[in-house]
Amino acid sequence: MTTTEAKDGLVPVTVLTGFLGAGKTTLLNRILTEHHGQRIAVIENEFGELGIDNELVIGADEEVFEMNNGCICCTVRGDLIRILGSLMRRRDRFDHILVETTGMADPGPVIQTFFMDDEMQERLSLDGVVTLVDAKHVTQHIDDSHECQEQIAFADVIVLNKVDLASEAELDALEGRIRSMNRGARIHRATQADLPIDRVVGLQAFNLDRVLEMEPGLMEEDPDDHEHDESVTSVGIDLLGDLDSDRLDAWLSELLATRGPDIFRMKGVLSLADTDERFVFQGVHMLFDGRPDRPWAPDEERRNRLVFIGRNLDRDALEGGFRACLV
Amino acid sequence: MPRVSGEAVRAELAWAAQGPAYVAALAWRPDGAWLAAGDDDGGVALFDGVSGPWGEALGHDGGTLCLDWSARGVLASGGRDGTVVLGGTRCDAQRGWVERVAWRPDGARLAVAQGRRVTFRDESGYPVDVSGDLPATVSCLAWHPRGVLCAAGTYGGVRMLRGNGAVGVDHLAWTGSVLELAFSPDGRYLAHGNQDSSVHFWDMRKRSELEMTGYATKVRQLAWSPDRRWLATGGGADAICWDFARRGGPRGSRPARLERHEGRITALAFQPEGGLLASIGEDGVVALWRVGEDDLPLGGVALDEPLSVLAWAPDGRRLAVGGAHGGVAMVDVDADG
Repeated sequence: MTTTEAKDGLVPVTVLTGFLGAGKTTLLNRILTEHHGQRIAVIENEFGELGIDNELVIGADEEVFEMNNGCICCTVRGDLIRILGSLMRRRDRFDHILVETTGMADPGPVIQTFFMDDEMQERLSLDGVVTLVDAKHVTQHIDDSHECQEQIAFADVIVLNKVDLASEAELDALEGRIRSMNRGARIHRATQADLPIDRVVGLQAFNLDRVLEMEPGLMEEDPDDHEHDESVTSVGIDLLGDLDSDRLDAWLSELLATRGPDIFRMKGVLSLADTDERFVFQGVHMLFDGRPDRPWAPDEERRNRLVFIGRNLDRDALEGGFRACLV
Repeated sequence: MPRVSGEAVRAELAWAAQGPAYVAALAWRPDGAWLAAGDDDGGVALFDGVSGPWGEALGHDGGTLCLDWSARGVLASGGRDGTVVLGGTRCDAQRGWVERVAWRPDGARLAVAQGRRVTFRDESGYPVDVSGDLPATVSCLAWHPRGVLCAAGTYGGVRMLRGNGAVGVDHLAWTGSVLELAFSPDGRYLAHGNQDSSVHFWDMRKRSELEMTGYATKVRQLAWSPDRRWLATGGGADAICWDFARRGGPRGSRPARLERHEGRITALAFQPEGGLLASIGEDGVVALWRVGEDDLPLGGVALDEPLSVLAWAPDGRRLAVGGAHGGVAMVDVDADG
């Protein structure tokens, strides 16, 4: 990954995930209705219960491509590369592209497609991953479905949909559960996917400038954190001090090489020794993108804040490893 | 363009025409009298090879994606409407984009790649055979020069199909996504360019294989020289040319690297006779090279739009190019300077 800065002329892409019946098609139609007049292409991998009213809906079979080395972090979605590559030739360019995945899709390869393929990277910018969750029925999947857990873990925005079918207590419990899995995402409640559209599009979630706009409380230790034995969790680290770049580099390289498949997403702001600027980064599996940001203010506390979202994360090992990089 | 060798190739723009959209495919009729261009708006434009624009053939709603003119002079096209037009007749639509059409060298069979299937039609359009669903979408097709087998590239390798009702005879298994295929003119080698920035070769006689990695981008540009000495490959701004005249082929060799383009090379093709290699790129440049003799282009022209496709006229004296903004241009090439 070289850069995720928003560049002029890049067409934003929103990825919509969630199980069948969670309300993806409803949200899709709402986006299309509110953005009428814009040219929006929709790539659909399953046919939902409602039809989609749009001039350009393309059906595609999900095709996950592994590369020759067989690494999960290098898998991409061949169907998206082929279709989007073809659509990018058009003279009248699209204003936005929506990719709807099936409930059984792993979001990892979808996201990686936009960073691993040179043409995609040059012409498109991944705006965000929006995961719809059926507030009533998700409890049937959340414990044992890897797909369900991964869709939550990879999300920038999670829409708890159909909240009218669940009690307030159920919703609070679910929201707490989801937050323990992914502290980086914003959670919105909705009944018929009826939330303001600007909460799901225009996120620029992969733009390094937005890394700092992480959810408040992202790093706080959750009192319930060790209550469940969940396989997908978030680990937030917040430490004062400066980092030794070489040690940090070595630690991160080793971490991503050995644990890359388990680390779905990460982002953070770091304080590097001998550097006046803050260092911002984000990553998906083994793809890592970082750069110096604005200088630290004279009265600003130089602290390191980062979050890992993934499977089987060992908080003590992560924090210990990171702490050892401090000068 | 700077040159150091004594040889010069004169390249001059003969005519240029403006079409509506990205030119996705170009094909010459084998007698060199006609050129067809398929564009992303769905048109199929016909050009007189000498004088330029002539008319329109049946097109494809949503975009024309591929064209091929048979040895017997029958034009076939396919596109996003899911149909094939064959000799002016539209065959019935099926689900999925028609991404490739390829005539068997004798012109008696047309292979059509649509989704996971390859359909084989005779000259009248009658579907003689269908491959059945392959494990992944067919991204490219290439007929063996002797015209018995058709290679279909997919994620997972290459399927050899007969196109006569017999089941697929061979599967060259390979982990990764195949984007473009090319048989050497003698049929001994099959090369494919891949999504993972590599080129893979199969020696069909020895059943051995070899992989070249380290390209800057995915590789979709492959061209064999007619004498089968060189395989020119894209996958970045430079043309990388592998020498097959050496004993043992290109294994362990350093390829010739042709540097001129600023931006990605989008297509490569050798002159049918005369041995020149033409390259075009996103920089709008058409460059002409003599591989193995000169590392700088011997001539060329620069056009004002990113170029997408090229096709040598059968006599090798004209080169047609198409661009990302809809331009179609004809370049006269005179190797005697």
